[in-house]
Amino acid sequence: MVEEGILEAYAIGGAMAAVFYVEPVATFDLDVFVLLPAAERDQVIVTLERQSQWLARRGYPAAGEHVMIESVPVQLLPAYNPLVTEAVAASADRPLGRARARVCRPEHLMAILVQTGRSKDRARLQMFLEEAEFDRTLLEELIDRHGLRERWLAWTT
Amino acid sequence: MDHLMAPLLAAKARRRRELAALPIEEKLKIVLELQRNVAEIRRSAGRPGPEPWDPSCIQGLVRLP
Repeated sequence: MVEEGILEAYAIGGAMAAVFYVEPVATFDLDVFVLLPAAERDQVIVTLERQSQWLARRGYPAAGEHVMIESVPVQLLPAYNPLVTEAVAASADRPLGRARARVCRPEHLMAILVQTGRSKDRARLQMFLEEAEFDRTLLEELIDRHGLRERWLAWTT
Repeated sequence: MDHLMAPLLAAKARRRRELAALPIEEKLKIVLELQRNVAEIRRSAGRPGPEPWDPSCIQGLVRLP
C-alpha cells in the first residue's frame, strides 16, 4: 500500500504491538496506525475509502470497522494526533518468522496508553513498566513533550 | 500474610517477565490459544463474541502443531 501511494506509512499499534514487548494478551483485532498521503490527510473529513477499496479489490472486504485479512480483523486508524503520528514515523521493522512487521516502539505505545487514559490502558502500562525493555529517557521526553506529565505521575507514583 | 504472599507474587512476576521475553512467534501461538479460551468461555456463558483467528493466518510465520 505504501509502494502504491495508498498510504504514506503505517505501524502496528494497540494490543498486538504490546505483545511484541510484554507477555501475550488476549486480543481479537489488529490495530494499524496509518499516515495517509498528504492530500487525503489534510481534508476536512478524513476517510479511508480509497484504502478500503484497494483492500477490497484484493479480496479483503470491510466488516464493520475492520478489514478481514486472512481471518484477522484489522482496523486501520488514521494517525489522529501528533503523538500517534510520531509513533508511526518512529516505528521500526521487527522480525516476525520469515517476514518482518512494522511496529511502534514501546516508548510511544506507553505514552499513547497514558494519553488514552482508560483503566485498561493503565493496567497495560503497568505491564510495560514491569516486563518491557524500554528507553526511560525517551519515554520521559515523550511524556513531557505531549503534555502527559500529570497523568503519568498520577499513574506511577 | 505478606510473608506468605510475597514469594507467590514474586514468582508470578518472574513468570510474566519470562513470557514477555519469549520470541514473538511463540507469543503469537499463545495469543491464539488465549483467543480460543476466551471465545469458549463467552460461548458457554451465552455471550458469544469475536471469533478466534484462523491458525493458518500465522502459518507462514510460525510452525503450528
